[in-house]
Amino acid sequence: MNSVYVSGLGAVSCVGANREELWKSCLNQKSGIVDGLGKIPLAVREKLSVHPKQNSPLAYATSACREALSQADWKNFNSDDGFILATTTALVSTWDEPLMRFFKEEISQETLMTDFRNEKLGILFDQICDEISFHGRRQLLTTACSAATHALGLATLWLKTGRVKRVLVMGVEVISTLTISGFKSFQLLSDETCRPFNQGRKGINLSDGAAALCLETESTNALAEVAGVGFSTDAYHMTAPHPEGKGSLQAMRSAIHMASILPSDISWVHAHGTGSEHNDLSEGIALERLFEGKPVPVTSTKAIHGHSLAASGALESVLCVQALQNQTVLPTYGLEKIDERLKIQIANEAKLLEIRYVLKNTLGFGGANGALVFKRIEKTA
Amino acid sequence: MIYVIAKGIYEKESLENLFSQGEFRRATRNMGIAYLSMKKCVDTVTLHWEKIQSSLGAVLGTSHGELNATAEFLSELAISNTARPLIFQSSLHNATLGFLAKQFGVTGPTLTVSNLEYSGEEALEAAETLLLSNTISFCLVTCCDLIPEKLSGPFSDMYPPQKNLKEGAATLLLANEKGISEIEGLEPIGNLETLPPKRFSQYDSDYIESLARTF
Repeated sequence: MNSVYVSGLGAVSCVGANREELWKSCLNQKSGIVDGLGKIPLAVREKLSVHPKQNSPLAYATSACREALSQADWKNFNSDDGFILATTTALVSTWDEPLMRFFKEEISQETLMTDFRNEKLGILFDQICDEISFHGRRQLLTTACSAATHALGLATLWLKTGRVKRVLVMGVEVISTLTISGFKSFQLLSDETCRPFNQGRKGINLSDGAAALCLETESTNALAEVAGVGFSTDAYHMTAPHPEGKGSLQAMRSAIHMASILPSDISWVHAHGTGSEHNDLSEGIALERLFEGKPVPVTSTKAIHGHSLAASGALESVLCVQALQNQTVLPTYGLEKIDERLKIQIANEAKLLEIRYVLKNTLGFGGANGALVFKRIEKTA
Repeated sequence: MIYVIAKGIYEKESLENLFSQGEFRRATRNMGIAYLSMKKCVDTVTLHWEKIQSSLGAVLGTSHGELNATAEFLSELAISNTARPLIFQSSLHNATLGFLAKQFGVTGPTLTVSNLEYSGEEALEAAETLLLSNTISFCLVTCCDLIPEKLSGPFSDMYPPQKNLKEGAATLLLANEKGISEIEGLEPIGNLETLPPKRFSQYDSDYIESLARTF
């Protein structure tokens, strides 16, 4: 099967309009969380290559795409290129409040329809494809918080099986009334900056975010290799992960198996690490079982850029590739005392480390788990 | 080559009995109709089910997903300022497949795809990729969509009358060469060498249903 390389990265988040700002914020521990949310601030919005106007998801997505395409030097798309989008809510932030006003009989159906026509997830996909002139094979995945990790996994399989030669993968999510109210109803939101894996953590920080990665089978300027992908399902509960991390462990083992390596070959783990009670415990137990008493550094960067749901796997994969390039482990912000039930090694400061393989792990509602193994590009003499 | 092992189509049966049982009391109508189509499909291979389950994934194609639950959640929030977590958890597009995975014990990949009228076709393509890469040996591919009760008015504005909108769900059980060769006595009912032309959907995710009716 073909090897798969990452050749371009793009990111828009509450800490910056591009991948470098994201990396530096994570490295220097500058959080973009304000009042428990990671909204993209005006200063960042003004720097984007596309002005948000009324359609923030499109602007964030297009800016991240353009940054990635530029780095990969993809000037045009070919007929054998692919595009996979990951999103949970797409344009919901443009129609959820109008729909609530319609239910309260404050606006007519005719007025509602102006915004409600955006309801299908595929509408945003059409808009992004128009912006970047893409007309090839495409797919929209919506598997909650694992969507972008699944999208990167599926893209890798497309390339390995020769379905396409290049794939643009992107995740995008924008905070909405629907998501804030929904997560609040679960009492999952923290009103302060989240503290993943920390004793006494209070919950998660929802955030805006978009990230894009260019994947291809041949690259003269590869940034990293996607060496392994893993998918699994808990089949346990609609929202809570398996308490012993059974499904998550299966996804990570699958990714490591596909990379033809052993868990001991992994130098660093970028965890899902949302800061929720159940997620951190389940993931922590899965990691403990994966490494069998020989722990490797584990980091969550969500206290810096927040949890952008479906986009999080893409945003954090951008960081994984940057970590490989910089041979640097990123710290977990705000770790004071690790949850005493967890027997994993949390990285709490940035440090230089020889990193050959990075494991990216993700969990999602519906028991959807995903894992990726990124490999450093070895320099030839 | 991708083989079709079994099929199941929701034929407008009553859901009343189903929704009076255990976990189905909290299920959405989407979950109910998709479950019935999947159960019909799985019931035809009960003899081999345990072996099939050991390397099984599932893909669901839906354009509107759980929009009815989303509308219900937002309606209660708007009118009574109440946010109900049980409705929110059912409002995600992948809630349907999360529910089905639990009912049928699917622990391999479960992917939910949603892309307008292409949702069924793309579900099939995602399943093909998982099978051709030998990520799994068997894959349930389901499509379902319905007209949300609370949104029948806006839907009549969104779709022209000639679109003949209706609810529907259908499931195919697919296998790759490895899957077929590993289970003695497992006979395909067809293969996916020739697919129906794209974009002939009468409603958003009926591609799988139309395909299932050809076997």
